Amino acid sequence: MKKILLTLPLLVILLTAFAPASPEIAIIVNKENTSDKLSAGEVKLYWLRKIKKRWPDINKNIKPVDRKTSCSEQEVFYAKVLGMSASDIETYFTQKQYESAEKPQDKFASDAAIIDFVADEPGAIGFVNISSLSADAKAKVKVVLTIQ
Amino acid sequence: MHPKSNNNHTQQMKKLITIISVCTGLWAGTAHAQDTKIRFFGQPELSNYNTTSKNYFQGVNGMGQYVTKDTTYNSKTNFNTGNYVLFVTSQLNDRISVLSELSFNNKGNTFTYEVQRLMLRYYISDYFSIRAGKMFTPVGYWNNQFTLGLVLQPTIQRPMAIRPVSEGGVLQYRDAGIQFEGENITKARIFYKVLLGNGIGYYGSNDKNDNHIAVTSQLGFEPVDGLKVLASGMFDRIEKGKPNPNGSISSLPDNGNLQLITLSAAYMNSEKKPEFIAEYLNQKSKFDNIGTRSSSSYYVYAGYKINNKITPYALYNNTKAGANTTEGDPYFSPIPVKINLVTVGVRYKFNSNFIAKLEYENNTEKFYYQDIVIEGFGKTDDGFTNTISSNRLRFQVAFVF
Repeated sequence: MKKILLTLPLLVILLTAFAPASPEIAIIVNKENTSDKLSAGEVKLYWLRKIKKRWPDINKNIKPVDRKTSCSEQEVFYAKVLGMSASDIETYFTQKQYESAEKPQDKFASDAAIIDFVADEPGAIGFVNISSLSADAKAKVKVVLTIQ
Repeated sequence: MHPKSNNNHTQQMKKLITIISVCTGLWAGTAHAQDTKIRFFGQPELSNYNTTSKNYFQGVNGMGQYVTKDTTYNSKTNFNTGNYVLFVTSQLNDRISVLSELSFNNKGNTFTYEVQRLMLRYYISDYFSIRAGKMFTPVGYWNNQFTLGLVLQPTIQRPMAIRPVSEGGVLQYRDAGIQFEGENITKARIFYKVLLGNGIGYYGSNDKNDNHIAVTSQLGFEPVDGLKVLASGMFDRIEKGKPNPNGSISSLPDNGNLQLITLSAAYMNSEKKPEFIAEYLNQKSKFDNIGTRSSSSYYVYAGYKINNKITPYALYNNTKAGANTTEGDPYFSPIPVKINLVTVGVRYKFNSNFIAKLEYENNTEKFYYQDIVIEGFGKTDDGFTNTISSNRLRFQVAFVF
């Protein structure tokens, strides 16, 4: 009995240690964008196009960028920045599209594709795993926030 | 099949094929930009419908008898395919987007389709953009939020107050014209819309033949995320000799002005559990010679998300056409009527693209007939009332892909 009592906490510690950690993500925008730093709240408002539809200084259409399928980076972004479920986000963009012909978020299969899109589109804002930001990628886009 | 019917069917099919070809062509032409989004809304339904009609006579009926009560029952259960909606939007460039919404339905043995919306939006700034084409009339909250995309609508049926003509209401829920709008003005997030449209009776069709432009405007604010408070007004001209919108009168007796004022408050935030919508509508038909007639209606909707799947809800709707029991409103209903509609239901969200709703509806409509003239018996002084109450159980699945 004593052995079991000693083994259980050890097992819990081991399981916790080997559980996959949440990835650190970076919120990226185009190099032309004049915003250098954004808070999580500001990222949410821009990404959901809630308050502004166009970036203030560059006057370009805000283009939110998402991952095509569920992944740990997306989970972190939805939970820690947007505070919304995947289902609620889909409904939100469907509603916007239905009501006022607003374009829903662009979706890509990989971080590399998101980086390329953000680099090309002045109004784009997206999220990638911070480890995907090689020196080459950092030269193409601007990081405005990181989320652990 | 009758040759004429066959011919009509063939013509319909030809038109449909043309529309689909144009849609496909437009899609193919713009799809390379990956900015065209095509969605398909569907909402099939199973419904059990029980109606009880009670006539309370206080005079003589057609047989010369004094009848105090006459009750008839009607019951039916049916599957209804509902509207299927092909919905396409495209971002043509940084500022211009287009939207088309085409609905398909199968009523009786007739296959019908209709262009619900077809518009272009030019986005100048957050405070000012322009829409042109056929679009939702900016009347109230519900009308601009849900309409045919029932996967987004919290209930199966719209409140009686804002049902379109095709569902027994009088609301001109869409119109062709040009709209100026803006949003997110100041920290109070003020928004406005002004639509100059064809107006009553034309519903966006191109065969308008009068000289009047209807003006519909809306002003509101969103102080808290999801909470919208707004007022809207529609002003148009009523024309003598034209049918009223729901067809209950074939020839309006007089010229006049129509004024519809709505007040709305809604709290619909997907991140919060409570849901609430309340709207009040007051319509005045100001006829040139027979005076002013008015109708009013209000509804209250409330729901509560128990979790991210299940939302029970309730809707109460009260409508009154005519100032009292003796004076109807020719525009809405020439016979004074009072309507009470109670709906309770539950919504189950499988995911954002697939939602099921189960709904019970109790509707009571009381018509007040006055001064009935029966050939051979002269005029009865007291008239009679006709009360129609119906209970309906409905199950609907709504999806979008």
